[in-house]
Amino acid sequence: MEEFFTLPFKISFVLDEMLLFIASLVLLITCFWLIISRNLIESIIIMSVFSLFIGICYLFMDAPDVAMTETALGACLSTCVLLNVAKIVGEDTGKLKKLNTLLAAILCSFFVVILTWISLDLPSFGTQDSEVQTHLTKYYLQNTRTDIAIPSFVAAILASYRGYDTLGETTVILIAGLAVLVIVSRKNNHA
Amino acid sequence: MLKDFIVIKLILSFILPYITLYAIYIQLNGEISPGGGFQAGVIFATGIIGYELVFGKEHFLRFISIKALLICSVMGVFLYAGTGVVSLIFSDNYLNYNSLQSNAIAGQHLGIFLIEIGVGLTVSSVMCLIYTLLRED
Repeated sequence: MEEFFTLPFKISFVLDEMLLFIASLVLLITCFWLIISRNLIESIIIMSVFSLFIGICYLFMDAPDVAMTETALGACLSTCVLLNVAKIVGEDTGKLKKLNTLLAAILCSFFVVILTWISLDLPSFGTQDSEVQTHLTKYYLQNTRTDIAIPSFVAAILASYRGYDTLGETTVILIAGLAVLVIVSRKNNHA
Repeated sequence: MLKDFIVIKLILSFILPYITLYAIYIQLNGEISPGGGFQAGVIFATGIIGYELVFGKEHFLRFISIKALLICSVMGVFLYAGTGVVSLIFSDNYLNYNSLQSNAIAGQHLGIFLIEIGVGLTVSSVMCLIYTLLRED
């Protein structure tokens, strides 16, 4: 009987892993589709699909904050901005100067090899006794309840323990907006 | 113009209040649920951009100008940094919210709430600013 009651939890665990596997597979197919696509608009839409599926992957890996950001920023906002840019550039990319494809392919393969090599050193997903989990994370988990007393550990780390970092990030976002403003207004003055 | 497509216009008008409400929910519940200022700002900007996409730039700039967006984004960072300065006045470390109220935990809650609002304000207005600037006239 006990076996029967714990069955839904086991199934949901397996289901999570299976859905994550399917989403990763779709992600891989999307990447290859992105490589072979020739149309600018099509590429932008595929990038949006990629963001959507990687958001789903983050959700299954228990990171709803990152999933939310990726879906809103990658799938919606940057797609809108890029589609506007594509409207200015024009759908026909044949007129644009072609890059050296061989050099780009060699560089990309180089990056793939390096990143794969580095990822061998990473701890596997969900390991409890990895380097990351044993030092500061332990302190945060033990002291958030007494120091800050909010249920969301992410918010506690982001806003209180790591307040300086978040201030820097906010300033970086402001500077990015100002940089776009400066570049676009300069172009308008010359025209 | 997308405004002429009645289905898109109606669906956007239907879904826009919910997107905005969701952004406000995430902003105010950053302490107890996933998400925070950044996510709330991005979702709010998504709603505004959807409105801009359908009704056009002129209609959009009638409500809020580029200068106002710029002022909002600077105000967000100012609110964040100002919260830190308040704790400096009470002879505490910069960005330590313990001294914002008499109780340390209540001070932490108030400080986190204030800086999340600052982050949300900056992110939403910068996203709208970038989108509006790169929009073809």
